[in-house]
Amino acid sequence: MPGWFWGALLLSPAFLLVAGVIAAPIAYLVRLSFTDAHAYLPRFGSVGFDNYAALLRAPHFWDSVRTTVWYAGLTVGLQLVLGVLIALLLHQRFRGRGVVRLVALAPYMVPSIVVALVWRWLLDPTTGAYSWFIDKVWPGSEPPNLLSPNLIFWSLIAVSVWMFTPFIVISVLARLQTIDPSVVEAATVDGAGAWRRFWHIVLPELKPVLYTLILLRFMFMFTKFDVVYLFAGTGTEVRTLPVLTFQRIFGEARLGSGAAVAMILFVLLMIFTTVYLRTLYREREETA
Amino acid sequence: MRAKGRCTTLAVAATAASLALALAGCGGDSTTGDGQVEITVWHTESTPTTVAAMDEIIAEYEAANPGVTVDQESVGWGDLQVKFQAALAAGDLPEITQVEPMFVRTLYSQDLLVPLDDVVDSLGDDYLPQLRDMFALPDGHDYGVVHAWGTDSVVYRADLYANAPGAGTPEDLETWDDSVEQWRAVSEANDDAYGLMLAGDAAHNVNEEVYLWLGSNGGRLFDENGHVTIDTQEMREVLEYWVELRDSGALSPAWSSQTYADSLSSLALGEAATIFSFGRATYTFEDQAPDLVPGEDIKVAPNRPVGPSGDDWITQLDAEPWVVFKDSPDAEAAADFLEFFFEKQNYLRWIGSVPTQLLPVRASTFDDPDYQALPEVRDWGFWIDQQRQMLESGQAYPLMVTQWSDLELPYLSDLYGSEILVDMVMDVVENGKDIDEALSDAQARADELLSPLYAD
Repeated sequence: MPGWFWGALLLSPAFLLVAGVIAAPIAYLVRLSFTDAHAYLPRFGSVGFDNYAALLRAPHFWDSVRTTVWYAGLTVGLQLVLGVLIALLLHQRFRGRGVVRLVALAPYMVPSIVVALVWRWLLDPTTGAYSWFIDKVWPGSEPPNLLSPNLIFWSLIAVSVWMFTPFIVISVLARLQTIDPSVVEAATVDGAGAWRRFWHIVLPELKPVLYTLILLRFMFMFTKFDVVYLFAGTGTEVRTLPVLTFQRIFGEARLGSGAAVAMILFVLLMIFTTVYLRTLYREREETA
Repeated sequence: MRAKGRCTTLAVAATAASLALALAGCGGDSTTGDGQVEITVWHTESTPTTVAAMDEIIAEYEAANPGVTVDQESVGWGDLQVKFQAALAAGDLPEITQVEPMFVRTLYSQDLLVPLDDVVDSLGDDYLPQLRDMFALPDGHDYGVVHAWGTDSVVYRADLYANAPGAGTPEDLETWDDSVEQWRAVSEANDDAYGLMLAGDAAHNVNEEVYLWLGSNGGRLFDENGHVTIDTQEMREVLEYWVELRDSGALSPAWSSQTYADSLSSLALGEAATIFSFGRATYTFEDQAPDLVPGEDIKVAPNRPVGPSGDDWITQLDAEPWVVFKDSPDAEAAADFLEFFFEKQNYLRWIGSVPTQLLPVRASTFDDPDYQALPEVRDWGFWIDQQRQMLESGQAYPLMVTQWSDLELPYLSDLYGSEILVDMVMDVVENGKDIDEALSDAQARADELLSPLYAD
């Protein structure tokens, strides 16, 4: 037998695995998105681009796109700002630093379902700690319902930032620990204040890791489903594209339309990633 | 050569193993290789006493039927549809499951169900006719057997109403205007309590309120051709009523984030004077407010107020049936288990686990001394009696059904799952959207969703 045969044979299990676990489901999803498949009724007719056209015409689809972009943009932005600040604080030397670091990282270790339930209990307008606190500070006042449709999006942002900021903290802290302290010390001796040291020395050192974090966190938050669904449900205010996909498939039983939403989500993410990486690459080329 | 031979063997083995792994997940069968029969039962009764009751029934059935294994799976109430849909797509359905009444027609239209005539016949004339009729389908067979039933009631705290003398009680209510006045007066008379609390957190509960208010205002969700009708005067009045309830202070502002369980607690803890509830609430009341006396402090009323376009109120009939799937390798054994389940002592165990929620489908059970001796039946008998009256009145309809012909529509569940009605209510009541615009949007979305499924 020729050598290529044995090579191909040995590669075939891995190929089959990738084909079966990744390629085939995506191919099936693409195929599904061009049909009017229904969860219960015997429908699997080809409808061409009708599902996509209907989505692009539907105002609530664009509402979902906007909600997703806002959700991902705001949570990633806040995670970055808070994550860098917390990492800078945890990088300082102080007593009990180990314990504080552990506590600061804890939210990331808690399962999503626990986070969602605990925060819902805390923010409950009638029996939660939040309403109790408001009542103690302003007796007799009616606290705004942070879980109501007009405020739930902002509560979701807060909970998501609380939960995922530790990921930034871990990553930035790790990078901070590799910066040569003598460079910072030299700048201090030369009279640079804290802000100038951060802006001109620390931040440039952090840039590579921050670029990677922006990309990863945006991808994660753009496709985030668990904490959105578990904490905030499926209402229009929090109906991001992943939630809309779930809603179409499991709520409305429209498999074809749900697959089309999933494909659009996939394409949007690909566009973002490509543009982001190209911009990054160009900037690096220019710097070099 | 030897090394190459070993490579060949390894490569072939690895390929075969990966193929075997890939194929392993492709099939499902409840009959095991040694001839044993395995019956999987899904239900949504998660109360520990009910699960324990089923365990006992199963143990006795297995003892009497060697070779048969029955596994129960208590599925979260809100998760059944998702789980069921996934199982259907995977071709891995359980032998027996509970379903919402609206699903029976859908499954029947796909030829997925087996007739359960023997099970129904074993119940004989004792089976409440209102329940039997729901799933006796046009081909003359019965495709679902209700395991237990209940109706939605107006539940109120008489002690909180007493603080608003002159406001009357929910029994006095006739119109929506009366109800706004009464619940606002109760809110004003009690520092910490609102006149009304609704459960608005889950789409399920908002769907419930929409169809019940609509039905109590002479409206319907589908016209005579089975086409969805949302943008109507009756629905407009429902939304106006909802806004008025909220703006007047009659309805708690916390309603939109309250789960069903929260709403029960709000009554028990004195944060609301009125809720809409099924009988399971008695356990919350006894647990969280043991000092409240059933029938004195906590009362139930059958009647919802009627809207300006309606003649009479409707309420919800919760009567989920067992169904058995044709794909089940041993549908006969599944039906046999159900017959065993409905035998008097077994059935009493089941409904006796939560007797105020799980009302018996056998008429004779209500007169059974063993049933009447249950403590919950003694304490809360007035609520059980009222549910029986509501069933007999013919004013209790299944979820999303405003007229009996709706139950024949195989796409009723699509509207239920779509959240179109929920979005409409939240947009108007919580986000201040213009009612006409919300109605028009909801109608357009519903048309887009359902028109491809219409028979004509």
